[in-house]
This record gives sequence, C-alpha cells and structure tokens, in this order.
Amino acid sequence: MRLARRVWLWALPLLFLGLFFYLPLGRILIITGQAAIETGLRPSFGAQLLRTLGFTAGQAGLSTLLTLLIGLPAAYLFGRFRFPAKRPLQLLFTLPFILPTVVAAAGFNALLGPNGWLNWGLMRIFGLSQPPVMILNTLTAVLLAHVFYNTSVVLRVVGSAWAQLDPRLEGSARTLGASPWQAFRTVTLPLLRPFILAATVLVFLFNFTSFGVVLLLGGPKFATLEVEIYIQALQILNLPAAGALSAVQLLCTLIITLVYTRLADRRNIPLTPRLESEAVQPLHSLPRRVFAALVIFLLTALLLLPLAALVLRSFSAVNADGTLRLTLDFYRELFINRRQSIFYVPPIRAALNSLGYAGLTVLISLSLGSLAAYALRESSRLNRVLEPVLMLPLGASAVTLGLGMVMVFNRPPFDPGSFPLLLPFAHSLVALPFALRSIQPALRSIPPSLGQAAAVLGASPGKVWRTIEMPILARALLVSAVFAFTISLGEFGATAFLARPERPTLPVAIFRYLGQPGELNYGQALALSTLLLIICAVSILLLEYLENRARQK
Amino acid sequence: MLEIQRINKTYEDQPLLQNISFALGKEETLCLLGRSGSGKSTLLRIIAGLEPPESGRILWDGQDLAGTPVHRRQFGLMFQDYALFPHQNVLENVAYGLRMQGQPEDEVKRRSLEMLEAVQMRSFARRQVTDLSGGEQQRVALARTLAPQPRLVMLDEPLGALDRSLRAELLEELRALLQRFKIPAIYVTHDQEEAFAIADRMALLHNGRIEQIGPPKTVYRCPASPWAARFLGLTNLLPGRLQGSSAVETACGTLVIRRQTCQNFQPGQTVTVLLPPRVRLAQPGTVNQISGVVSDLIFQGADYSVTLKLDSGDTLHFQIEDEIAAGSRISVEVDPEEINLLEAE
Repeated sequence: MRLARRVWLWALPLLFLGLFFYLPLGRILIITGQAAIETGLRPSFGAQLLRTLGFTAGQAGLSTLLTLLIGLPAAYLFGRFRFPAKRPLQLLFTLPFILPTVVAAAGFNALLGPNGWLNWGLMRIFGLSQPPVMILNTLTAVLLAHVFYNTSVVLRVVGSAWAQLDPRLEGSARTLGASPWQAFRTVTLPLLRPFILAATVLVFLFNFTSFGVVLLLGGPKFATLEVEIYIQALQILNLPAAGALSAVQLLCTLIITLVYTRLADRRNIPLTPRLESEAVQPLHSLPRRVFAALVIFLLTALLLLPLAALVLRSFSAVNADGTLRLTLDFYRELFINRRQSIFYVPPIRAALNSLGYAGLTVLISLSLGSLAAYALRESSRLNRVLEPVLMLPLGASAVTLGLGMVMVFNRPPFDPGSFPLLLPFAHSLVALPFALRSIQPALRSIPPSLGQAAAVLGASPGKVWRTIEMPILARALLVSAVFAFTISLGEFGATAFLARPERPTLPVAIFRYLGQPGELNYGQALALSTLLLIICAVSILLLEYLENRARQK
Repeated sequence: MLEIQRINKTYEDQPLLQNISFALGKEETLCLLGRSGSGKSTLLRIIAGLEPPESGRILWDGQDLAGTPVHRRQFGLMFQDYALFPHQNVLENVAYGLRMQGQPEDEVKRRSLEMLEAVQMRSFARRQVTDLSGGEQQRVALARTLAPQPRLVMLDEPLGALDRSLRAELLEELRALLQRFKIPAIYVTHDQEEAFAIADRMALLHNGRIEQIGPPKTVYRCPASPWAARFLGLTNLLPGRLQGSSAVETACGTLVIRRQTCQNFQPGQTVTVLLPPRVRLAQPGTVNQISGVVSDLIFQGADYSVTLKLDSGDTLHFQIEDEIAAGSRISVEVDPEEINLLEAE
C-alpha cells in the first residue's frame, strides 16, 4: 500500500486517540508528578495505597479462584457432552458477561439485599421486623458478583477449547495403553493448559479493574484501586491522590495485559476443528448425569437467580403489612417527572440518553475501527509500532479514562456540561479495541486473490470493495456494532465522571436510585435495570443469530 | 486371535453397522473397503473399545473383551489424521505407549529410536510434530502405533491424506513393516488399489453390512453383487437372461459363455452380465462381437480408454490397445471365459 494512503488511514484514529486518550493520560501523570514534587507524597498515603493495592489483588485472586472452581467443571460439561437444552443454557450463562455492572449489582440487591427476596422471605416466615441477612457491603457480595460475571469467560475460553480438542488425541492415548486419568493428565490437560491460564489471567484482570460492582456491593469498607480513584477524585476532591492511584492502576493493568497477550500468543497449538458430533457424547451414565445436574444447578443459582430476582422484584411492590402485590407502578413512575426526584427529567429520559450515546458509540468506534483495520491490513514496521498504541485503551481502566478526561476538558466549551460528545467519545475509546479485534481478523481472512479475481473479472476498486470485501466484513461489523452498543449502554466507570445530572445515562440513574432510601426509588432502579437486561438479552440473541448464520454458510 | 461376532450399531436412529462378523487370522492383513460413511471407522473404534457396540461380541483367543477397557486391550489404532500429540516432539510421541507400559526410561528411549529407525525418521526425533509434512507425520504415527508391540494393529485410512505419488511409496513401506513385525492388521480404506496391494483378505462394507469377504483376487474375479462389481471399478454391467447353460441374451445380442465361474443360475433366469474391462478389436468370424460407436476416446499411453455407445443406448467402457478413431463404429470381441454372471439388479 502506498505510504500516503496509509498515513490517511492512520490519521483519524490516531488523532482521536491522541486527543481523548493519550492527552488525558499524560495529564494524570503530570498532575501526579507535580504533586509528588511539590508536596512529596505523605508516607500515610503510601501505606494506604499499599493497603488498597493489596486488597485489590487479594479480592481479585480469591474471585478468580472461585470462578475457576465453578467455571472449569462447567467448561468440561459444555465442551464434552451433549444434553437437552444445551444451547439455550449456554446462551443464558453467557448473558452475565455482557450485562452492565449496575444491573448485576441490582440483581444481587434484589436477591440478597435488605429489600430483596431472601430477606423478605425470611422476615415473612419468622415474623422479623428487620432484614436478617446483611450480605451487601461485605466481601462475600463482591466475590459472588465477580463469580457471576466471569464464570462465562472460563466457560467460553476453556469450554470452546475443550470442544475443539480432537477426541482422537485422547483415543490415541487410550489405545497406547493410557488409563482415562493418564490420558487426561498427559494429553488433555497439557493441551488445555494455555487456555486455562489465559482465562485465569483475563478473569484476574477483570476482577482487578472491577469498579461498578465493588462500589455498589462492597460499600466504602472494601475499596479497590478503581473505587479509591473515584472516591478520591469525586468525593474527597484530592486529584493528585486520584492521579497517583491511577498511575499505579495503569502500571498493574499494563503488566497483566502483557502477561495475557504473551499467553494468548502461546495458545497457537493447532486444535484442528472437527465435526461437533465426534467430540461430544451423550450423558449416558448415572454419575455423569448427577455431575451435569449439579453443575447446571450451581450455574443457575449463581448466574440466573439474581437476574430472575431482579425482573420479578421490579414487578412487585411490598404492601404495608409485608405482603407483596404485582404491579406496574415502578414502570409507570419512569415516565413521571417528580419534583423531589434526583434528576431534572423523567427517568425514562435516561434510557433515551443511553440509546443515543450507544448509537453514537457504534458509529464512532466502527468507523475508527475500520480505518485502523485497513491501516493494519498489511504488516509493516510502522504497523508493528502503531498496533499497541491502538490496543492500549484495552488495558486502561475506564475510571482512569474518565478522570483524565475531566482533568483535561474542564473549561467551556469543552467541559462535559457544554460538550456532551465527551461521553460517547469515552465509550468509543472503550469499545475501539473490541471493534478492532473483531474487524481486523475478518479483513485479514480475505485473501488478496479474491480482490484480484474480481478485478480480472472487470470490477473497479470501488466495486471490489462493495461486492467482495463488504459482504465478507458485514458480519464482523455487525458483531462489533452489537458489542459497542452494549458496552456503551452499560459503561459506568468513565460515565460516573462525565455524565451530567440533567443528562443521566441508565447506569447512572440506576446507581443514584439504588443509593436512595424508599421503596419507590428501589423499584425504579430495578425497573431501569430490567430494561437494560432486556436490551442486553436481545443483543446476545442477535449475536447468536449472526454466529448461526455464519456457521450455516 | 480376533473374532468379531454380530456387531450392531446405530447412529442417529440409522443402522450404521449390521451383523458384522469376521475372524482375523494370525499375521493376516484384512482390508475393510467401503465408501465414506459406511461405518468403517466406527467398527475400528468399537474393536478398540472406544465405543460400545449395541450388540455383538469381540473376542480375543476366545475371550470376550466387553469388560476390558481400551488401554488394556493392547490393540493399536492409527487414526486417519494420525492424532499426533501436538505438545510432544516426535520421540515423545513414539515413546508414549512404552511409557504407559511402565518400561524403564532407557529401554523406552532405545525402543522408540529403533522404531523411528524402522520408519526412517530417526533424524527427526527432536522435531516438533507440528513441523512435519503429511508423509512424515504418517511415519511417526505408524512408529507410535507399533512401538508398544500391540497384538493387533488397526489403520484407519492411513494414506488417505497424502498425495498420490507419496501414497504408492508409503504403501510399499507399510506392507514391508507389517510383514516384518508379523502383527495381524485391519486396514481401512476406500481405495481398492490400496486394498489389492496390501490385503490378504478384503471385506467390502456396504450399507453397514459386509457385502463380500475373501482374498482380493477372488473378490475381483467374482464380485458378489452388481454393487460390489461397480465399487471395484467393474462398470460393464448389462441386464440379461440365461439361455440354456452357455448363452446369455443381452441388449447387445446373445453372448456365449464358457462356464458359470462364480455363482450358478438356472436357465431362463434373469441375471446381470459382467463384461471384462480389457478387450480387443474383433477378428472376423469370432464369437461375442459387440459393436457400437466410439463416443469418447482417451489416450492413456499403453492403451486407449474407449466409451462405446451401443445401438441399444447402453454405454460400455473398455481398455483397448488397438488403434481407434473417435466417432468411428467398431466391433470388439469378448472372451467367453471372461464373462461373469451376477444376480439381477
């Protein structure tokens, strides 16, 4: 490709990243550096930082361990066996992964919170006046939520590798004299190890950078780095401290991301894909059936029960005598602009805002992602340098991004109040690496001979693009569009910094309502969460449909 | 020795194997020949113990193997795509079976290198299996299968993934190895030339049943059915009716037959007449002249491949050495000795 054309392709994505990602990042580092030089960081701050870092890593490790304990048996079940309703179950268990953190928090709140089903039931049965189970604001709640989120990662990464693993390898081992356990230990496990490791690191990274669920379920006592940045910046208004925390956070995520990419590269053991029927077996023995029932029961309890609790609770109101009634009140309230409301608009406006921002995010991240994918199409030295520059936002936390943005863009006409595009810009930065990861392989999969064949048949370059490349790319574009859409809908970290009270997004509204006392506020939070949940479920179905159509071709 | 008794297996409610029975002699190589999807591989998996049969028994020296798990059967199985362990190098792959037997490490190494030597892959011992070509992978897989000295070896389309010239070369090596190690073998293939080359006996698998079993020569000379004939590449089949004991009436006239070589039919019975693939241009005054128009002619070096369109509309395919012109009308003569009668279709 001619250099001039490549520079053109690069220009827009780099300009965008430079202005809205690297500039804010640089600003954080400068402010922190200045503060360190001027005042010197107090030793007490250092101790606090270490404590926060220790807690962040500790809870991430513990969450990861629990996730693996549940995820690995699940991966075995879904990778190796055939059973009724397998595909729908798989879809349902994937749902948590794309759910916004506030929805997960609302779900656990509806199940285990003071106004949730568990406490309501216990109070009714034993005639108590106070909720007996206080699980919110404990480490248990945070761990539960992390397991809820990341089990699907293990299920997907390890489960699909397991299903891809040629069963003839194990068969060969068996005919060569290995017992089932020996075959597993010497063949299956070594081949799966890179995938298990990759899933572990990925889950650890997600747990390490977790923000929404920790803020909502852990309470002030359990602050991770992310939550601490938020508290320092928005509640204590100590920007240098927030900056220092951000710098530490950035360094940590960078290291974890590097470890992950190294592992992901090593995953290239050729697992020849084969017909599904070959690898998966029916559950024909009793121990296997018991195992399957146990795994599905556990997954349902951990992953689906909170969601069911959320939806049901959003349609129920507690009467004065403690009984429940079915009601649409919470949904009706969404359209009413009450004077004592936290926002200046009816809550449903938040949904419309969110949809608008999500649409813009799709547009921006897809355009920039496509440009970058075309720029990266051929490998060159320039591209090898620029690709990590594009992918870095993947490792940076959204809270850091939000903090940096408010540090740079804090004066009219470029403050969040007068420049509402800042929010979709931030969402696009989060979505961009995902879009690139999806479009780039699709583009690379198109051999140059296809375009050449079309050209020989008389197609102009424009027609080649329209008739050959576009149809092949369409699926990847749609998939990244759905991803960008759900990312924007659920984004909470950067949004917490950038959203204005008069233009709240759904997660911001849910967060605020959950923090307020009273049945009505609680109910509205759950109703809004249910709306988000439905949108995400539709997205998952759409992705599944796209995947099915691609497979049928 | 191995004895298979009335094996049945269904797949997705379709019968895949029906009443499969055969026995395998000492040092014998049996070829299972059949199209893809005929259940050949499944039969191997059942014998190996990787899949249970729905009914039927597998015996070794008269002893039922139903309760013997895969790893205790000492049956070697080489999968179609070899299934080499991608995380182990060539030597480790070959050593795997010996290690599972718990042999001392220096013995494992000595035996593995010996096996690699036998397949001419000794210099590849430290290589990654993922770096090998198809033929090299095949050799390593064979060495790995033979190394633990199984009492039976099963090969599932061992040459299927290789190109033609390599196939001929490896087939010869494989034959020599099986003879040298004196192991009874079941060899699965869809290629009849491969089967002819390596089999002591061959079994034709069709619709889950054994259509015919016997030495290659017998099977080729006397296919049990029109299907078997076509499958072996014998396509000159015509419907006919037996007249007396030495003539058969067909669309290309009445043909004289010398004797009924394979099966016996009664006079007047309808039959399928199998004509040989190799004939000569008819000399004047000879019997069994078949005439038609040369509708296609392919030069093949040693001879011509001729498509002959008969007046009845049937087409026959012959190999003819004589000089022929495309589009011309010719007569060929068929030796009465070489005409076979099969059951009517």
